[in-house]
Amino acid sequence: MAVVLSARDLTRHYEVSRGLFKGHALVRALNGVSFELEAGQTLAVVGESGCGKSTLARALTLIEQPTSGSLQIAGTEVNGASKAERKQLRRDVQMVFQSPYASLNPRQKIGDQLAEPLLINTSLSKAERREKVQKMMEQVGLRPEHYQRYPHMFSGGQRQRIALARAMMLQPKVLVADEPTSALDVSIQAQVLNLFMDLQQQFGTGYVFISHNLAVVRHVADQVLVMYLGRPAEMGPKADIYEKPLHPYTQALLSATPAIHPDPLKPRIRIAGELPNPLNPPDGCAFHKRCPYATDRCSKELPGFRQVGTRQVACHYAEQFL
Amino acid sequence: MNNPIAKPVSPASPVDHSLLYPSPYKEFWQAFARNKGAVMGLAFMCVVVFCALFAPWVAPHDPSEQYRDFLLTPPVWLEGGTWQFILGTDELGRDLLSRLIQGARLSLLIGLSSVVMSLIPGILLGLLAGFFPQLLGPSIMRLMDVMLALPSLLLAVAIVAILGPGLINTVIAIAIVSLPSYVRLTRAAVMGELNRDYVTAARLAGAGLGRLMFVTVLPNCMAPLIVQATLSFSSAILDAAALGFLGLGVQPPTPEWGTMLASARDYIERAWWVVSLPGLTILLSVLAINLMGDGLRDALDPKLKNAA
Repeated sequence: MAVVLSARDLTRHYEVSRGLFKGHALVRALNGVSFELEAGQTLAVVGESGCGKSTLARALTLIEQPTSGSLQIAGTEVNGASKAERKQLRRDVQMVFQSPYASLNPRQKIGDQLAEPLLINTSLSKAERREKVQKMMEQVGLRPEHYQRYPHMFSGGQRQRIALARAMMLQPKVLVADEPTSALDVSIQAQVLNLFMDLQQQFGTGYVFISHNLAVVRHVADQVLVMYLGRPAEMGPKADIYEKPLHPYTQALLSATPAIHPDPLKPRIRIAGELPNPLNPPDGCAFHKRCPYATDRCSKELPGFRQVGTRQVACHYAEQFL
Repeated sequence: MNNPIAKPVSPASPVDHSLLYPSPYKEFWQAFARNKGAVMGLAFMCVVVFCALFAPWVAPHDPSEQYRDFLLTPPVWLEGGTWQFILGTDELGRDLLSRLIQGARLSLLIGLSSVVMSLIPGILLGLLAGFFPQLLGPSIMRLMDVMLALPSLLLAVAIVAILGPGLINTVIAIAIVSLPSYVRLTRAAVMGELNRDYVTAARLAGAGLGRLMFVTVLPNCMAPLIVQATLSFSSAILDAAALGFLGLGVQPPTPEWGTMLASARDYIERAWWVVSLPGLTILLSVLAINLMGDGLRDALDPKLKNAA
């Protein structure tokens, strides 16, 4: 399979003002994230709020320039690309947003919104655009008469289908989905997720699926990347990670997933404390203040993101959990 | 080949009209017509515009002709009124109805052109200020703040004094004075919309700056602008009257509603119609335009029209 998206040490720092006399502070929202995504595969990015998931999405979709690191889309390096090249690259990465209520233009008809990417990027005639739009609408389960309706006439699930259709109009190589189902009813979530997977099979698109819902991730992902405070904690095949999480944070995250029949033999791992302030991250391992297994070494030495078996883990003691 | 019979029109797939875009004009009119007040406003404005366009043929008298035997004749329905002067005459014996009809030309011209001349640059500056918050935006806004800090009439007088008196310069002065409110409104609305996801989605689709400004963002900012435009139509007429009163605008004997209102104020106790009728005409036109503006705003808002 061809690698459609590859990130190397992707970093995004923000300078924030702390007031008049204090000078600027640096927020390391994204701190050295690397991964490769193959066509037709889904990489799920999980983590709690503020761990850099959305920053990653913005960097991948070229909305924001990464501070450092390299990003390759279908083999082309983004940094240092010319304006024309960037325009071409931008076609290849599309995005579906979290809120279907904010991601559609309230003053534009659905047909016009779906045709807009074609209008801008291709030289198709009006009739050809229309035909393509109608075909895509059929694929995402919208009726032809929806073509001339406005977004407010649709339910949340339908809107997310429209947003997905718009993102797929140019048949991108990569689709970044930023919590696409978290604003939907549970009954609709499965429908929309299945639609995502159907379209992936059809077009062979690589998905970067950002979520904090581990049940959803388990349903859609091939690879899972767990993030903590802007850094990768663990990355590997879905089955391995769900079967035997190696990073203590992943273990805690997975044990926090509610289950219908909780296993009484598996005690729930509780982690104390809160996410550290990203303005002032702790020395050593970012997780050591909440980690039940933390030692002196953890508070001094930053663990590297290293290969352990089939996956990569950022923990000094990963082997002990194998 | 072009024989229409030869073209197979299968009954199984007739042209489904629900799939076709209705003409945008038709759709707009349907939404507009639902608002009765707006239609009444439109009807009134049509009458006024008709009178203005065909003033020489509609008006019963020459607006400048002075009938010395009929000074301050009351309207026809009052005691002493005659059918010769339906709305009465003013202090120089000129027919009020003719002057109102003739005055519609200038008043509408002043109102409309000053609104257009401040609306278009105001929207452009506001969009620029909203899209470039680093350097260009603040500099535009500080300039607007300076203009807002000066009393508007004083600023208009200063501008006319520089440009020289006259109709066009009056319009330009009024347009410049009302510019800051449009810029501020547009910028505020643009800044609110720019952070929404649909703008990001349009960027991802590859939309350029022009498309983002005018196709994606601007239609979502129109509601307050339309209201402001209709409101400033009336203030433009009144400002023009104030400038005329100071000798900087339209000069007598040219009939113009604001000037008529201003010049007849001495007679308000003896002959109320000389003041009230121009005032009433301005009031009704402003009301009609505001109603139209309301209807326009609602008709352009897809949430308020129930298509399909």
